[in-house]
Amino acid sequence: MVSLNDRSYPYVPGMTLLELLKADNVDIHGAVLITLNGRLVKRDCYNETLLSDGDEVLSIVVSGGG
Amino acid sequence: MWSKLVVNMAEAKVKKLPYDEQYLQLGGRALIANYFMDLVKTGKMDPRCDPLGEQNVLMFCTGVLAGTNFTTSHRISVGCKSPLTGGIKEASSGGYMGKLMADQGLRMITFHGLPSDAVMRYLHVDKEGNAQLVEAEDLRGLGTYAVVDAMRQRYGDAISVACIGQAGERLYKAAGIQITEFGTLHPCRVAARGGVGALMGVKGLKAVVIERPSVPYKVEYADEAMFKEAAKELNMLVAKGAKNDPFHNFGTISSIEKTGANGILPVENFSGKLFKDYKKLGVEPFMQRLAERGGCNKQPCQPGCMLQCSNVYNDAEGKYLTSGFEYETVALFGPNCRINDLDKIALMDRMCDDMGVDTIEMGTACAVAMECGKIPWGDADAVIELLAQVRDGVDFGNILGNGCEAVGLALGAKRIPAVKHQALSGYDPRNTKGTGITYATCPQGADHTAALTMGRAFDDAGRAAQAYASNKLQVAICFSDSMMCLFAFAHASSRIDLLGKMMAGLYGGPADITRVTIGLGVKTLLTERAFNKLCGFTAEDDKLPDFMYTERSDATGSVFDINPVELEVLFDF
Repeated sequence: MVSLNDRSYPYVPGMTLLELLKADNVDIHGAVLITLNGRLVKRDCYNETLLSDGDEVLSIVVSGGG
Repeated sequence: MWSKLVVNMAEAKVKKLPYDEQYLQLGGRALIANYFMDLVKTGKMDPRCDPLGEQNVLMFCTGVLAGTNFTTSHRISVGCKSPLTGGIKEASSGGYMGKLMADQGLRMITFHGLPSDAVMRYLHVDKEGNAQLVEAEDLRGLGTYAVVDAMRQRYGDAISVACIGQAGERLYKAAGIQITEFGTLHPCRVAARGGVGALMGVKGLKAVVIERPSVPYKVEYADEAMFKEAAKELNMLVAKGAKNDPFHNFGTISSIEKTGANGILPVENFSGKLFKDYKKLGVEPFMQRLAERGGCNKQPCQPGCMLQCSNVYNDAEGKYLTSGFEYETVALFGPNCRINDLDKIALMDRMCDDMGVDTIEMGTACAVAMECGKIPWGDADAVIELLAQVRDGVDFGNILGNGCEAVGLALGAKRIPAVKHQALSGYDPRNTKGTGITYATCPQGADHTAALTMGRAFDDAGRAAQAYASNKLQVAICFSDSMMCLFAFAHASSRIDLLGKMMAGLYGGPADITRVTIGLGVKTLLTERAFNKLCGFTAEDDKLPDFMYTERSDATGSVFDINPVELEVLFDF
């Protein structure tokens, strides 16, 4: 299994981060940042990032402030 | 029983007294509003007094939940009649000071009068709770990093230091008070706004140094079980929310990902343009440099913080450069000055922290100077040179140190982004109108912590919804600023009933949320506005700069079109 914001998805060998984000309807063109096991993934690397079983992905929406 | 320190600067004497019963259930922003209004009511302060004169009082105080295990309950608030705005001022900061004040059993430290001599001093509170003013001529002229080093050599590392740099000593109206961060002891947390550092300077007070006490003060609860049950529930809520919070994961710099894309990020002195290079200042380069240079994020500025939004940013050689490197600094020294060099902006941040001056005032002021042709657009080295002039008290530095409006007036600028003499923060109000309403009406002046309405729920809302959002958020921020960090509050806001329960568990009385929403929220806002009215403020002061109403934002075609009558009814609670 892989998780995205605590939602579990079945792990399929060869699956990419981009596929997972699309499956979860993440607005990858919006103000959203993605971490994989706690590390930021660059926006242009989603398609080349292969997932492993047990990976934890967070999609973090930036709403501003600070 | 809680205590307070009352410091008479004219006689250089300190008294430790029981904390006032009438202020027991107040803290932070609510306490400051009530305390200064009481000074006026009792004839101890003429509301039209000179903010740098002998009647003004400088206050450091904790929040109302200080001493408890509730997350972020140990922020520090600095209060006074503002040298910059001329109205009420609560400048809020993180850091270790609030926790050590609570451990010392102190809720409030007030500094009264002006020194009768020209001697620089600092207040020292030792491990046993003894407090005295210590002569500090050797610290005169030092930057805040050197002051902290000197205090660490004298008292060790179990201390907090609040201090001014050269800007506060020179009574610059943009001077802040730097406060050391928990753990690192870097003086990178700051009560930045409103010129509070100038008041510290005129009182001849270089620093407040508090040692960790031998025996920490134990809070007395009316119903400890009730408090801890509510606090545990809210702590869990904040911890859960923090997991997906961009401030926790990357820091406040992440906001640029949102503001840069939609015209909220100020560009070239709030020109309304878009800045296509904003991603060069965004999360990806920031996180990459932290990783490559041995910096870090997820740093707590105070013990027990679950948001941990602070950071350590190193230079290209891997040497420490700055901490608490925040969105406002990047936005206003960056795109607002047409600068896209993150390392040079980090150096500007370090210089401002070291001399003790507000990065928001400096960033906006430098952009005004660029627009007036004083220095070229995008010239980071010219900004660094101007900041050095502020530090050294030479040439244009003596104007720049007084902030954005002072620079604009000196250079004859037509576009000065300030409200109540205080510079706008890192959000263009034409494209986040609720935030613009906050800028215009907040008694603190244009402020980045007073109620930013930007966010998914409000971005596409109509004007009535924007006004509603600003109004409700201003109230909420008033009670948040009296209790906790607003970043934690963002995750606790769905259960504010638990804040009422915590107040009941701590102080007794009903577990009623209105003691928070009305008592610490609405009443604080109205008291601040009443104080400002006594200071001479009118509805004319609740306006944005004229150009916001007439110049369209390139990004959206918008102007700020909320009229003064609409603003005035906001406070008819």
